[in-house]
Amino acid sequence: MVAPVIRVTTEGTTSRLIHPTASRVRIGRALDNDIVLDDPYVDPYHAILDTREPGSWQFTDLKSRNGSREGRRPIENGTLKSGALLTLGKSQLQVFSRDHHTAPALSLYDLEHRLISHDGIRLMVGLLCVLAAMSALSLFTRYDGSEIRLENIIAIVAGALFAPVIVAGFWALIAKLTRGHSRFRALVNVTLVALIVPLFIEPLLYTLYFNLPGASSLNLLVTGLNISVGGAYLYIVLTIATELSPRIRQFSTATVMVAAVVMLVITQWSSRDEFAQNPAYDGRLMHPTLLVRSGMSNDEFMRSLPSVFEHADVLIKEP
Amino acid sequence: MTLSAYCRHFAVILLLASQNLSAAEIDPARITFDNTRDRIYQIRVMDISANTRSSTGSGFLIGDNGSIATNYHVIASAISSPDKYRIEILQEDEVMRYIGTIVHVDVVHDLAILSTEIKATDFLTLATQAPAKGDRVYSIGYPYDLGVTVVPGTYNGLIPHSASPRVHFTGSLNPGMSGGPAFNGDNEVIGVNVATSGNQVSFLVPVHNLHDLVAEATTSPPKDLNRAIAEQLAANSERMITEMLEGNWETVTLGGANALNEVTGFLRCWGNSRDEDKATDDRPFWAQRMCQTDHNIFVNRGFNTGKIELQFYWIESATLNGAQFYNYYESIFSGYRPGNSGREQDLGNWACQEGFVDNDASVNTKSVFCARAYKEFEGIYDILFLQGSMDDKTEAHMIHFTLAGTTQDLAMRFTRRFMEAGAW
Repeated sequence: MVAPVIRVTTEGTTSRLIHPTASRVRIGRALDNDIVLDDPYVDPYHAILDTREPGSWQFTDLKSRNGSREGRRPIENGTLKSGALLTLGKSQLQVFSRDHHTAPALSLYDLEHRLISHDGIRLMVGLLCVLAAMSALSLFTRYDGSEIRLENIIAIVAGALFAPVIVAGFWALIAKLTRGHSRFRALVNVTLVALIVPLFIEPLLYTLYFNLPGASSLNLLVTGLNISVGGAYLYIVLTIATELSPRIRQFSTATVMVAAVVMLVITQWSSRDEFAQNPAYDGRLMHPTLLVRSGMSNDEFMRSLPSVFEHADVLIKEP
Repeated sequence: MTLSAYCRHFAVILLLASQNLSAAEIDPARITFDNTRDRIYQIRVMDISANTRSSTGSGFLIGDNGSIATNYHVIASAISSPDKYRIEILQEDEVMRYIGTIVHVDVVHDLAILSTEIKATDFLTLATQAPAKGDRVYSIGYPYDLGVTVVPGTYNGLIPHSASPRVHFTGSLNPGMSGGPAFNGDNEVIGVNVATSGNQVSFLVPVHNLHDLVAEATTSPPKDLNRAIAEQLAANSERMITEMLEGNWETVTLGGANALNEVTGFLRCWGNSRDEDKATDDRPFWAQRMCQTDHNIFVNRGFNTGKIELQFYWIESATLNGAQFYNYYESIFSGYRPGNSGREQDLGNWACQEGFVDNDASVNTKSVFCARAYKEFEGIYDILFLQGSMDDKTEAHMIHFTLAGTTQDLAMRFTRRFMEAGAW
């Protein structure tokens, strides 16, 4: 006789492992059963599990009121194999043989594990506050004295806070469908971080580059930053929400990033020769304390002008 | 003399007298018209492939080779797209249609001379003296498709503050009459119809400009019209900018800084500022002064040039902090536009350079200089210049100008003078 190991889960309790020794295991709510299920939807004497045959156990339902199920189908008399999942009332019994295959231990340092462990509410609240503070700061510096309309402020702040939740919700749906767990809180936290990082670095870059006029290289940097953050976000979200292998995840992320770069290059290149009535000059201005370099003299400025005319002449040359 | 002979003489005298009286009642406009109409033509610019007219105007016979004088803007499209358009010249009866070939143009004064196969040798006379203010003048042309028409009006002298000389004619000209002649009482041409503002305010090109063009066409006709136009634009810009450089650069107060006044006659200035009494919000106070020339030079439909604009803009705020003020300041600083416009086939894209300049008045500024080249007119550019102060946390001054249709040398001389103008 090979004794099974039974994992019992009743609603509202954590699961426990039972090693019944009786050859005929009596299951029910009454206290003199071998396995007592404290579940009001289980009959006092609900079922019998015969463990005399090794490798296949006989299950008999004792004409209980709510019946029993194995997996999804109802069972009155049947043979069970290792791993079978029984449902009696609102309780679940999973029956294993002792040599049931168990998976090796997961690594605590696994990327996915590390990511999904960041699902704390405190972290989420903290990140939401940071995002709200940054939106508020941005609104504050953009204030130019016009009438403040409360509905505009509310719309902006609500948008800033709801958008990450909605995006995370989309990925949580994918996770629930593919993995069974939505991991919503971890996804929200990751999305918030992905929003906050560029919002923080971009103004920093603008400030650092303020003393070097000429917007095109700065725009390139900012675009590179956004694409990198987007790529990292995509990889992380695929790790949390899907069961794709690392190689596939890397490949998908790389493809999306390359596609984004290619599209940007194409739009830039095709609009390069487009006629524009107005000049596109770098008109960035910042608080005078951020101007650290001294300017050139009138003479130096005048000496730099002929190159503008040369450039203008180049722009009218037929390609 | 016998009584019957006396009666006959008296009758004859009465008859002659009565005839003289009715002659005096015939409108001089009609006399002018009758004397000159056979030498005035309608000009039609025909789209060759569609075989329909794309624009019409008027012109008049002035010399050998069937020389017809008209406005530049009437035949401008035939210069830029000679394969697309054909110039037809005809009169009211539409019996003979002559093809016009462009001999010379004056784009600044809006004049052109065409040669045709017209055989007539009886030309219109160009006056050598201008009329006096109040003199009656008669303008003739082909308005729309209403046939040849005479419009009597009053000569009201040259317009003051005009970038190029224009006669103010009090009469109702309308578009089709462009290029037609205006006569004094002696059937001499004193001007060429060029534009109207409605309400009996119309303009003529003074005839001495036509004299000059005719002289040039005779002595040195251009081989390349585009080159001639480029030279005219450059010469016009040189004239205007030289006059400005020698003008009065005194400044007037604007906010906490200074601005230029009417540096020279052809600039008109006006200023305005934010009405603090009526303001309902806390936006910064602004005051600006703007000076510009009164009209553009028409080069083609959708493409004009020649304009000079100066602008001085002061802003200050007592309520915004430094970051907020500079955000507002940046939105203004980034939004400057050129004073003229053109099409893709006329102009290149702007080339710009920005930098920080500590000008001679020890003011830290951010400065922008942009130029775009003309595709058909070598050596001609549009310029946009901008300089904004960067010293103060809550007040700022911007100085700005645009020049349309100038040369590199003139642009740089003007830029230097403008930066040193003491508007700081």
